[in-house]
Amino acid sequence: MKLERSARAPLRAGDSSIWIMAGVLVLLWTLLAVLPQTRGIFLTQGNLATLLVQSAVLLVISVGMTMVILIRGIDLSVGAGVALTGTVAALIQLKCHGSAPLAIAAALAVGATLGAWHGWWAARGIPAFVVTLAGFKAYRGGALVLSGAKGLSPMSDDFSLLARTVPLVPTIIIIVVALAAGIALTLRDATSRRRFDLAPMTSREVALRIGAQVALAGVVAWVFAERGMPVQVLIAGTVALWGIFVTKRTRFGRHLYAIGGNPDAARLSGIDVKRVTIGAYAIVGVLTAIAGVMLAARVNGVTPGSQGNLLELDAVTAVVIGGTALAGGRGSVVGTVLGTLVFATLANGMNHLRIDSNLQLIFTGLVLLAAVQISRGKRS
Amino acid sequence: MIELRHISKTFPGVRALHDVTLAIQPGEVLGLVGENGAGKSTLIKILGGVYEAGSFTGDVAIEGKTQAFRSTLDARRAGIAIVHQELALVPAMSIAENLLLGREPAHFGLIDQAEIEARARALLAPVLGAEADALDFQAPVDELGVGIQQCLEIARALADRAKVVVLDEPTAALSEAESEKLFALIAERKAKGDAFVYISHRLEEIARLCDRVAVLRDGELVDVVAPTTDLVPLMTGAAVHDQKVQRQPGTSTVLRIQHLRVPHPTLPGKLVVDGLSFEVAPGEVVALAGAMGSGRTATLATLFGCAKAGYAGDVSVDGKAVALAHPRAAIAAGFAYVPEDRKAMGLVLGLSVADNLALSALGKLSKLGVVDGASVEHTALTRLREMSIKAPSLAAEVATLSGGNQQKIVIGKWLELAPRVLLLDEPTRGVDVGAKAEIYALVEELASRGHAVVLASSDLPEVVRLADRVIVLREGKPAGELAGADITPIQIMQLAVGTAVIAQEALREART
Repeated sequence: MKLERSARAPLRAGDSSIWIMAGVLVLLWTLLAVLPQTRGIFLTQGNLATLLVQSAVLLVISVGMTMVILIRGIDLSVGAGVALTGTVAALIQLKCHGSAPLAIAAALAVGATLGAWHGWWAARGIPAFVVTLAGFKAYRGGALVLSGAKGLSPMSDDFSLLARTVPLVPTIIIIVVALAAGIALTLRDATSRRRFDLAPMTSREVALRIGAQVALAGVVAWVFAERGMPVQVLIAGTVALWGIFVTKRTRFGRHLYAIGGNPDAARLSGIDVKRVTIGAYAIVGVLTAIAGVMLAARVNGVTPGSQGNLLELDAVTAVVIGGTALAGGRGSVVGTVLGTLVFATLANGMNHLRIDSNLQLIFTGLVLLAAVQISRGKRS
Repeated sequence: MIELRHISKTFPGVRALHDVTLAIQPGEVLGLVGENGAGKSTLIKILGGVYEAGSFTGDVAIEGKTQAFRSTLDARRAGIAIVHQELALVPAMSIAENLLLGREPAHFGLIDQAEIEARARALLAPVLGAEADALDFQAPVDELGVGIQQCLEIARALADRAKVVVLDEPTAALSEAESEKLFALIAERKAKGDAFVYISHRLEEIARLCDRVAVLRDGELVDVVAPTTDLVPLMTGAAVHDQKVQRQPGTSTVLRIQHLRVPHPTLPGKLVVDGLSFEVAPGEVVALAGAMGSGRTATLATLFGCAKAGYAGDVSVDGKAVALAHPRAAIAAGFAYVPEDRKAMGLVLGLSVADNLALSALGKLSKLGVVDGASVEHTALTRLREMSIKAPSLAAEVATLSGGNQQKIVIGKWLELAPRVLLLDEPTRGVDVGAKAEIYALVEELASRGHAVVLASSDLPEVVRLADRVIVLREGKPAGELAGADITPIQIMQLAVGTAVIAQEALREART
């Protein structure tokens, strides 16, 4: 039985919840496409593009949230962090007439610093819940103090590029380049097994992986074939692919799983648990700043008192729907991407179905519970 | 050559090691034996850098040079590899990833799964042989049996080409065939000049594998002897028969257990208690003895309704069958439980003496859900007086009390409920000598009042002192029963390690 599994190694048991999640997403989309109440709007290029733009900020945050949840942590400060980093960027633009690159760099620096600060405390054994709860309060306050509790707008023109759309031709080039990279990586995986004289990947499997990549690229190309890809989606997509790569294929990423799975074993294996912890929180900080800048660009300004409200809990929701365990050690960024899409699809779909927004909250809560039950059931 | 020079270490209130000096020569297998709590684990944790330099006195020296390990990583770099008894694997990660955990081959931080798998296969092949080829190296380790997991640990330790490899009870989870492979591997590495420290309760393995055997007792090195020496008397020391109180247990039966079987909480198919039956009369103390992991604690925890994976068998109290689904059911059936780790499971450290003493009886001490403060105070004061618990006040936090007084509170919190059966797990662990004697007197007093007592203990003099009967467990199965004058540390130890017949014959010969 073991040998049989070995023959199709990369379709790992851990991946099966991802296939379920992908299936749920396809089911939801099909349902929303055929239900008469949506009047055939759901599965149009325009609606899907809107859906992706609306979930871009959440996706960026959720990728980082996945990493800290993997090491049994959490970051509750990301919503307030979005407000604070957005405020920093906006102030540099409005008060100091700084350029967009300067404003963005400053926001990223603030995000990285705050994230590393959380990580430093968490690595000393202070519960991340408490450390980042302090940030949840403090950064919202910081944003209000810096801005004098006033809304900041509008952002300057160069900054607003982040809310524009990439023209059609570069869009296609980007998609083709990404696809080529994916195929190259797959082929490299196949050949490197041969290099070490291991049982080779079956051609069926190579075909399956490349087929999936081509299909995904095709869908993305179709969605943006009309008007090109929004910059927000481009950023979120890049962050997501980067997150998948880091968790799956870097030493740092594997150490996240080790620490979350068994911290004692990780320490006894010589993993620098403190450094990895600080690194993970610093990444969340940077991603929070990216999200802060994206949101400021999209709404063309910052409302320090409410910008990013509840984002931290939405991100945890997306991560958990995506199958990552709050207990740490299990989960994936791919799952988080799917979780974020399910979350966004529910919101978008229920709007089209004209479900009352209060009822939507109840429904989302139930979906969260169901998702956790599914991923628990898979494990036992 | 690796030397441990004059190593001493104390934990708060406990002397774990005292002036231990030991050298490990290249190309030898040094056995390390002793009872539970003799200091074996502490010693190898010092050797392996788990306790960092400065937290103990004395030196660890390699080739004459004093080392100051600040972490396990330092020790590993210096050539000391340890296979811990508790598995240190990451359950959700693959075999390949676990084998190379912390030393993944990486290029600019990027890892290559194929390279990892190739290296992992090369590491595991010598340990598992042909069996390794059939394994799916990308499968998560929690899908594997515990024996193979143990082999992974061993392969990981051998990967370092260490000067000395410490194996802590390596065969506890291995099948006979797997053990044989390990022994062959040790012999092969030994011939190449690698040294091993081999810790085991299985004395026949020690005799077979080791060149010399170091015996620890109460934190001191008793002697380093040839492996053919009779080790049991050295391990247990002179039998301590302090004034044993003669009791007259009743003739009726309070607790009856028949064919108790308890599955392992995480490993399907493995049993931690396998076919245990016994009875306890009122006023009788029955002790469960055996090595660590032999099923002592699991039996008590099961009787108190804590068995995670359920249990099979019949349990009755005073002739009434009881179902022990959870602790509340056990308490209702008349059980009281003093767990082995009082700080983690017995006490609420931040609460007061009075609150802790009232904890189990709050239902009785309240009306319509409102706790009657006066009753609580009265109960607590009664306990304080009758058990001579020394506390500055009823309001003092139990965390501030000494170990012995804390332990009395863990026992005392049950007395208001007048339990039929007291389950005591290591009731004197980590308490000083004076408190130990008081707790013994207390247990004897409770027995004479007609409570049935089941004692689980690794402290053999304690078992000898308290028990009317001893049931010795080995790997979950009853290995024998002792009563009356037969209860001696040597007899218990022999049953526990499974060399009873041979050793008893030797003893008889020596006497004549």
